[in-house]
Amino acid sequence: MSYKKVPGTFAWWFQRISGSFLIILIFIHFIDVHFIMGVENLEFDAVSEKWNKPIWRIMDALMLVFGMIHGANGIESILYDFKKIRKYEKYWVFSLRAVALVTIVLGSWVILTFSPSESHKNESSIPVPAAEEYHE
Amino acid sequence: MKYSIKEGMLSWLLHRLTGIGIFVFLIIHVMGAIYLKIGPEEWNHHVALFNTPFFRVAEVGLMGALLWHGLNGLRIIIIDFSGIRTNHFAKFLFWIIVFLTIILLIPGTYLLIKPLFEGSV
Repeated sequence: MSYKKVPGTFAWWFQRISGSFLIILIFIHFIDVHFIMGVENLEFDAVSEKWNKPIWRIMDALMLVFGMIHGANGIESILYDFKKIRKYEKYWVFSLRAVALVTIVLGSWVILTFSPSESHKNESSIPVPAAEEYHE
Repeated sequence: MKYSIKEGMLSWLLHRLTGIGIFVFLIIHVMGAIYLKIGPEEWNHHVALFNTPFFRVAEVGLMGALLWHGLNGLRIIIIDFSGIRTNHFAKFLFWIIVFLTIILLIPGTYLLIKPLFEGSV
């Protein structure tokens, strides 16, 4: 799967295609989180508001899947360059892919099942009467 | 010729180092996102960490790594698909991305660490 092996292989094409997508996706993500929202404004409610729009969840999921596979592929191609490490290929290739898969599964689970209602989990058990009821 | 080899090696090494760094960061970043499922308080406590002087400075490093890796990746794609296989072209693109990385990093660094000087962090 090393992307440097033979130009034209699946991994070689994947690195270039996913890389192109990642440039655009991470550019938008970084500007939005660091310069538009600001790292001081990333509270739960801000995330809820952002993920209210499905487009952001789609973008984050794409970034996660492309990023992890692109990264695992890249690390693989680095490790293949070391003769001594290459010997144990069957162990670390499996481990690296397992780490990538677990991260994709956990991240997708967060992105797809996140629900803003969780922020009012504790309050909802005690119904609060509307303010105007007190005046009557 | 001599210079092209040097620049090629430097961009190759930096591409790998930034790649490893971004990969490790991405795993930690996704694991941190799990706090969103644990609870709002836990998540808010987690993101408060990013608004500290250490993380503000670390973000500059992250931005630099992302810029270099992305721009150098683009350079590799351009070299691969343009069919231009001269050292001169590779070297020319190398200096373009060095320039772009620095040009984009200057306002980026300013915006990222500005709160440190305003005393709001």
